[in-house]
Amino acid sequence: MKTRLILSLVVAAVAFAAPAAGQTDEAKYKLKPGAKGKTCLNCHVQFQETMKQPFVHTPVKMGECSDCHSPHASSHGKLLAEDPDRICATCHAAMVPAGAKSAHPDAVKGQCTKCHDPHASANKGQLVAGGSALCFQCHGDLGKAVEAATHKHAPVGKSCLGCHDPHASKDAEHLLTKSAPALCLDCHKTDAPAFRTAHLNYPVAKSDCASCHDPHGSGRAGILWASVHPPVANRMCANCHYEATSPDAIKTKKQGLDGCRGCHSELLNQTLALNRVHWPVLDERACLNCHRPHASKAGKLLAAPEIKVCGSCHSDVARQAVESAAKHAPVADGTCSACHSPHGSNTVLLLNAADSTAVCSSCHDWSKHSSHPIGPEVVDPRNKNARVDCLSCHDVHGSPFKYITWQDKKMDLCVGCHQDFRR
Amino acid sequence: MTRKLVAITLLLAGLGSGLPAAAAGGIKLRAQAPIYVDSKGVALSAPEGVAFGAGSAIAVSDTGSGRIATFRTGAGGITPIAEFKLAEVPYPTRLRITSKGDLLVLDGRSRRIARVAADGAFKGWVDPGAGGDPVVRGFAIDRQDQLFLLDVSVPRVIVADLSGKPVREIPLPAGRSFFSDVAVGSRGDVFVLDSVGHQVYVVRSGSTDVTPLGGSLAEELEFATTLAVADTGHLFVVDQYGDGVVILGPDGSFQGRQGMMGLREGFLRYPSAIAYDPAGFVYIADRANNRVQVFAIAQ
Repeated sequence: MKTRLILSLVVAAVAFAAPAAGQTDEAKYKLKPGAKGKTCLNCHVQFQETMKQPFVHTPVKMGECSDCHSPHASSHGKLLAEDPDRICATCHAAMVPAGAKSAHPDAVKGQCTKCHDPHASANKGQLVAGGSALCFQCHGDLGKAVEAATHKHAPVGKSCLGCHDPHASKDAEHLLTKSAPALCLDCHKTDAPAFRTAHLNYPVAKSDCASCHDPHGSGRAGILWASVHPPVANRMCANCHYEATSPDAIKTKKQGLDGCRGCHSELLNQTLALNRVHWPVLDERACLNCHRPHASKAGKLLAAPEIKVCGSCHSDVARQAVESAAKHAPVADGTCSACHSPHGSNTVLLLNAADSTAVCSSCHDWSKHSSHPIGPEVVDPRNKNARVDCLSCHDVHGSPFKYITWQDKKMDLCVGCHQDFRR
Repeated sequence: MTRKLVAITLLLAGLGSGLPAAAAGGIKLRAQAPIYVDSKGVALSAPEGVAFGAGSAIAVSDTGSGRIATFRTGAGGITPIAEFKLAEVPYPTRLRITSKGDLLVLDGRSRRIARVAADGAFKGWVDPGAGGDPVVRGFAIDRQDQLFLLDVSVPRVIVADLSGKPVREIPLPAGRSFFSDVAVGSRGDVFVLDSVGHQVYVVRSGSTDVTPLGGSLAEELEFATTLAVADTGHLFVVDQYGDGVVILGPDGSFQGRQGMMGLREGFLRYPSAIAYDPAGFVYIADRANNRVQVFAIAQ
């Protein structure tokens, strides 16, 4: 009797706890036909228009609204069944492969709707805009540059997706579908006579094409970057490299500083005679720590805009420049060289003048005639060896406080020295 | 940046307290009277280097004035001994003291190391005979007067005798790093500081393997430039842009951070060098404050 009772209970429990495999939700939950979504259109009639668009998200097309929305209640906006940044990944989990070398930040953050309409659109992939126009909604500067380029790279005019994967790239930087030069060589044949002539017969098949060429188009013939090293512009590769026929043609004849000394000896001699040389100038990469040898988007052949070049080592200062509410104009502009000499200097901090006051005075000339007393005669009351200068009150790389001062209120700042007035 | 905000907040809270140090594990640095002037009462100017060595001597590169000042520490405190300029070393930066009391001074302009007697007599150059064209960024000396020259041109550490004759080399990891200083512990371990990578590396005595000491210090350091090792194996890493000192345990574990930006005694501005005194002190070249700060190491 007892055994039969236990068996009955077990059978009942199994029957109630797990609806039979293969049973549909409609049957399982005794839903009315169409209740998973088609019924929704009874009220959400505008979706009937949406569904007429050429590209409709499959669950929408199938009338499965409840794949993404909870029909009764939800903790998320728009009755979504999951966090908006995670809901797409419940089906599309592998858009950013693990260990991807580069990934679109929006894809990583799950902000899919920045590019895709979750219901339907006139564009393939339910993109909210077609072709490159979508990309240029965010990458506007690039869009303008592409439009302005007088020498265009043909694939760019067609679609960014010719070279880029919009979600992530497992093996390449910049979301490229392949790294250069492999990507470039899909179209450009290095054994073609025109290609060989253009490259003076140098064996560039394994070189990084983007070291000379702007893949998005340029104002220069050969879509060279805006700033070109004169030997490159004048097709004098052998100034630095061995002859094209040499087995070491791609190698440079000299390395490090010696590679640049031949032309830039005056600058180098001046730099090396200074009290302080910026240490990267002296390491094995020397000039190439900051400059590109062939061509660059940035002026002075810098490898990137100045703040990025400097910030690649001085990330602390670059971060401060970005995060500070009050910014010093040259810092906001990213022109570190407004105050610092990047190669070397006779003064600490590689300042480009004899001292900090002289640096500041090069822009703020009022400091010479109407300011708080500053200069070598004005002893800072906090430190008998310190003199009052601009840096006594200002944090020149940026500050949370107005006028880039060290402290919040004028009183806090002033009573640091004028303690008699402390309240 | 966040650390700077915290520093400013603490600065406001602690104005005039004279001891801005935040807790640093079991070790704390207690500010003592700084060194402001040389033996002639002349104020220090942008001192870039400081060293402690034989005979309880303290040597200071008074870089802004292009001279060297020496002191002696004892029961009566720190006494100025001498100051001198050298034509061969117009821009003294880092320096060390040998077991015999000579000074080794790195000149910023020539980027060579001069050997100088305690009385200021120039005794010659340390010329690393290693291959290439070494560029010495920093250097250390052990108790046997063996030099450890940080050559940033390659990068590597050249172990050499006092004349510069190389004994061996320690290749350093290449990459997007920049090595700024080297220190040697009492047990012969060599420590190298990567300012850009925010990492201390160690080469254990008898080994040539360069391994990270503990984890990345990216969260703890802004831009560190020098370091010193205590006899206990603790490391003092000077964070120049962060205006502080990070203390690491012998295993590289983060023990705490001391110091913050300020001008009053106990505060730091662009500290550029540190020297360890086994009697329980560290001396910090407080460059932008034009002084050498003295801190007692308290457990």
